[in-house]
Amino acid sequence: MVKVLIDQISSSLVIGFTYALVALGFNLIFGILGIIHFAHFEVYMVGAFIGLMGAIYFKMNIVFVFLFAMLGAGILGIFIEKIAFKPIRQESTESQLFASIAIAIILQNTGLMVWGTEWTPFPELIISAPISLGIFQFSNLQIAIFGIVILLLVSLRLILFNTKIGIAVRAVSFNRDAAILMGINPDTIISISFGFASMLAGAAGVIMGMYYHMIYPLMGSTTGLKAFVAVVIGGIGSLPGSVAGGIILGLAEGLGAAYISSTWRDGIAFSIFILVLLFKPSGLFKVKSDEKF
Amino acid sequence: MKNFKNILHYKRVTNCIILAALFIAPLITSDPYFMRLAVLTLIYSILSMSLCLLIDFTGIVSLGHAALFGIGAYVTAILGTKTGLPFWFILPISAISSSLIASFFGFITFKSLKGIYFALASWALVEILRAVYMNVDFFGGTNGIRGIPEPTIFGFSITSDVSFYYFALFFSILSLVSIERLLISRIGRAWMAIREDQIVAGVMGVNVFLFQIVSFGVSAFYAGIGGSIYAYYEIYISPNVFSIWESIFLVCMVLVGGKKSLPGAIVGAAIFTILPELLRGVGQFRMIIYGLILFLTIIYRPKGLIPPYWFLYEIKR
Repeated sequence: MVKVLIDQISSSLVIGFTYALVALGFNLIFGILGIIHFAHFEVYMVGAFIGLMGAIYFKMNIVFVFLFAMLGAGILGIFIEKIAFKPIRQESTESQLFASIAIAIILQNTGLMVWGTEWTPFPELIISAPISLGIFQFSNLQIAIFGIVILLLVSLRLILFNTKIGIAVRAVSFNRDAAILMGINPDTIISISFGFASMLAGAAGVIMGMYYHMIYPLMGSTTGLKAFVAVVIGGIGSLPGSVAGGIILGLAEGLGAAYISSTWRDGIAFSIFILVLLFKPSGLFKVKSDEKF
Repeated sequence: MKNFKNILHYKRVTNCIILAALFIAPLITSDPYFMRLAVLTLIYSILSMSLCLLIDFTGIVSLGHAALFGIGAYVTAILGTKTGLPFWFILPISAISSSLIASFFGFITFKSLKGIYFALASWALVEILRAVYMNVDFFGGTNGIRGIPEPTIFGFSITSDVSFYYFALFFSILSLVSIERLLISRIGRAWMAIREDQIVAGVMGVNVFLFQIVSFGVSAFYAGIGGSIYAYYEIYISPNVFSIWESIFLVCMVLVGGKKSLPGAIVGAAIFTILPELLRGVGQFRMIIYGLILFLTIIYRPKGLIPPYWFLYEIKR
């Protein structure tokens, strides 16, 4: 009984971490531009496929697959920013929202055209083997994923707080005009944060592929919407919040699917979403007004 | 461009020509394929006009229109298949139930949520309702509901494409005229005040909360009518129709057609109904073309294709 529960929790945690990575990128972009970037989900999907191509055509090992996917996704993110958001930065938020929806439609259907609607098998990057800790069993895949996610989170934190670029990113998202006065070029910083965000999404895509051994072009809109729910649960603008939100959502979904009914999976996620929006629209994690991250 | 605007100023003449053209269109060609496109355009124009009322005239961005559309369609489908009531009873019931659910949703959300947050909450409404349709047997599950009986009026049952065309035409003209009348009334002016600035509107004595709920409810009423006609026309409905993509499509119609313009919404509906048929041959590529159209409109024609134009009234500025 407890063993089943632990199994459920550890597999839900993997999904929760994926949500968290996508949610983090989403939140970075929201913090800096104040817009909801729908196409971020599709960047995640494209990242997974870039990782797949790296693994199949270039026979890369796990480290290089991750780096390759992150690099590809990052370039895609910067490109999207340049063509879709830069020209309409002065327009209303809703135009920007729908510009990103348009990009999402284009990317998703390009993915469907190139890779087809079916599942594409993802090569095994690590030969999975069970590891037992006392009475509990984990697979080494799960341990590896936890390690990678923690590595990514720590490096994001270090970049944002300890490097000049990271401090500039935070400065622009805190107050763009003041940042300009301090000699920061906001356009560069916006591109860089789109790059960071998209790299996280690409990594999340590869994790999803590694864990399920399957990827498909519609994965962006299914996982992506959940990642968005995770952002709202954690609080838009709070980076630790979106990690926590992703984990909470992953657990709620996994346990709900196991103990209530698997067909209600999406219903559970979106009910949490509505409840949070209703009772705590600022999210569970309070964002101090003077500090967004 | 100036000439085009001048022509538009001969309102009565243009309107009469458009109306006459719409009425005699089935006499010229009653090709079922063409008629089907025309009926779908009319149904979607009701939906896009109701969304236009919400987005362009009240300033509420909603991604939940597919949910309201779906409520109308499902109520019609269930009442039609289970009770066999006549359509003139079912259609208002569908519209009212959609309106009631929307008003309730507005009541619980407008207090705390604004702008983009409301759009997200309405998107959650779409997903939750879809989960309900798919999981509850009463709503037919993933198979949907089939065999919705045809509407009958004065003993004359509306089954052929041409009769459905006039049926849908009647309701879309009714919606257009009544929405326009609403917009120039006291309520409409309150909506536009809210669109311009919520705080100023509040100071001027507009009950912002109430009028937002009213706007959402009225919009849902028309969406319910659209959904009901859709269910009658298609005979079969399934939960997959009422997904978030449907909402996004409806918003595309409004944005591409023209901001602050009901005829723009109709033109948008026509574009997004007819285009898929023209592009049928290119398969998956057509979705990419949709995306491109939306994207290019936002970048190059941010105000949409059609300038603001009122069928009934001359608005003095």
